[in-house]
Amino acid sequence: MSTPSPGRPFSNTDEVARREHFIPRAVISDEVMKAWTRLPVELQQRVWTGLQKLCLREIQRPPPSTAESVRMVKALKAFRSRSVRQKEDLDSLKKSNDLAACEPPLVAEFLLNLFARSNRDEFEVGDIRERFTRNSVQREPSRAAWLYWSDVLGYLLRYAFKAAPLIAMIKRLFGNLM
Amino acid sequence: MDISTLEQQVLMAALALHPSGYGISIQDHIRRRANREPSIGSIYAALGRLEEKGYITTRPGEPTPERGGRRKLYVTVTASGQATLQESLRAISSLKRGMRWREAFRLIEVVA
Repeated sequence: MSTPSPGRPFSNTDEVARREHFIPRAVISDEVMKAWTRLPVELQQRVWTGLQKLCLREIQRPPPSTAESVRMVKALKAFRSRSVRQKEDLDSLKKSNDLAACEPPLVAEFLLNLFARSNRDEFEVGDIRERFTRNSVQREPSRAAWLYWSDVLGYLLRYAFKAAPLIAMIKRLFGNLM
Repeated sequence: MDISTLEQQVLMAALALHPSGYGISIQDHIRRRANREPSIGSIYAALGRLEEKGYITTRPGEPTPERGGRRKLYVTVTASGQATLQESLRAISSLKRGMRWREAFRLIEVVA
């Protein structure tokens, strides 16, 4: 490689110099050229020598082996999955904080727990609570509380209807005895 | 065996949401697709009936904080449930083919 003249180290228009020094045309903008010409000559020479060494090292460096490529890809994937996991953890923490902030109306909750006794009821009560949690995030707290109350009353009414045949039977029995 | 419209919709929602269909998700699915919002209670009643008939099986899930530490009840449609649903849908489409739409509309206009 020939050392360029200090005043004019490389040029956009000089195709030979571009090829000789492996400098792509698009990289050298006019601003860079202006900045380069304003530098002192000694500094220009030092920078140019450093650049040449860097280019030579890049050219002479062997390409990565297959094992090294696989290792690099694995490391990248691990980094990506770690960052995704960290984001998920953060989201779940935020969500749990939000969830802890919203509590259903106490009386409704008490009534629900009072009547929900069987295993089957646990799932339904859980659904009512989940609906409340969603509503309290999406709507106003008062609206969510109203909806929760309506769900609870619906559940209790259904409970009453379920208990109705039993109550009728007891009444019939006691009526006959009396 | 016959199934009601709600049971039909619950079965279809459970099939669409398989394997993570449970009460709330089934309700949401029906609301989005059928533009109808059945209550949680009616969905659980339908699920109970379907389970009694052997059209679905249920399994409990993990407790979550948003449910106040209560578990979900996941629903799976059995083979007989799928066969019944298909039969029911086939009957509806067969009935639909037999409809005389023009005459029905004319009748509606006359009544109105």
